[in-house]
Amino acid sequence: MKDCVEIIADGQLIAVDRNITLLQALRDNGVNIPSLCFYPSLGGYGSCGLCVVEVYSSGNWLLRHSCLLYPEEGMQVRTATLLVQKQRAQAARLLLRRGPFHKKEVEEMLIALVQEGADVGDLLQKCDSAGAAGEGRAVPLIAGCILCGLCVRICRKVGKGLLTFLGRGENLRIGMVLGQKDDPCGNCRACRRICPTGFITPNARCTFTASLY
Amino acid sequence: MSTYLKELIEKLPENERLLINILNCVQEERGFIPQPLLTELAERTGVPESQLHSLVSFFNSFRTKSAGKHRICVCYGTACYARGAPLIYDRLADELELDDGDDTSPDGLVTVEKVYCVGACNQAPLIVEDGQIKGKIKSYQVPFLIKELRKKDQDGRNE
Repeated sequence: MKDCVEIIADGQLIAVDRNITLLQALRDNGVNIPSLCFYPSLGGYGSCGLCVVEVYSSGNWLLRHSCLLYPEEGMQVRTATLLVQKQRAQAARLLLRRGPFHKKEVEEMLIALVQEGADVGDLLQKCDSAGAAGEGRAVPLIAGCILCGLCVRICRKVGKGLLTFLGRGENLRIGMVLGQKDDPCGNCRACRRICPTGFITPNARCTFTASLY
Repeated sequence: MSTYLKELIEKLPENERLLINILNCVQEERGFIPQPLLTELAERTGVPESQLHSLVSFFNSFRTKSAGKHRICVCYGTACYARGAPLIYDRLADELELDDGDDTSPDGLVTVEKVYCVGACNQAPLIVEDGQIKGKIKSYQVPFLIKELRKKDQDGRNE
């Protein structure tokens, strides 16, 4: 049985299931919210930062990751305000630094988000967005992977749990731990299918060469 | 190896048998964490081996390569850094002929590590040599320090 609550999204009253994430609920109701690290059966993770929305809470509008929130009775949400656009543009800018991406549509989507944020923002931000994609910072350790963690999570859920994050901070990378067994990774290719940027080609073993030993 | 791990776990009080404590003990006793041990620990505890690798890689204090006989930690905390920790580190790397990215001298005598603040900032810049703090180090003292270590090592072997 569905456990329904009513929320107000962009001024419209909608009834949603309280057991699915706010992001999923909004999407089901036709609200377009970008995200890269969300996958319905794996739940939210909050690493890409694109799905931010504004939620009304005790007198203030707060920016929250909609993939980590669950609908509550009477919740008020705004999905396309200036602040949201700016925040998404900022998140997109950070993600673009990890490029270039194999899937061109991801790159285009991120650039569109940056431009959307820049249109309403000031001139300073425009300069910033131009520089972000090009020079400025050192090339990331693994260009094309946004470290969203989807492959790690899907491998733990449906695969054999071989993928994992290694290190932290600047050195954060994804590694494959094969252990001592022969050919432990089978061929489910779940990680390849779920990767939002198309980084995993042709398979995880060739892509994730980082290891501790 | 298998009895080693069993004994090690049994040595710990029951409420302290956490993965991180076990790994700490191994690191302390062996100077690094060998891969077969992680495989065994994974089998014994039911935690996927990949997650153990993730845990080990998260903490700088866990090593995955064998360490040298002696251990010198150069403090890179703010105070030590400002007072010339990089000079000391560079001198150490030079004297010990460390390759890029390598932290143990080719003869296996010394392992040099960077650590972040050991809490004795009034003695900056400092190094920790085998657990002993040596403060107010000047980079020109480094060759003498190493000479002393070599001598100690030689004496130990002759006895």
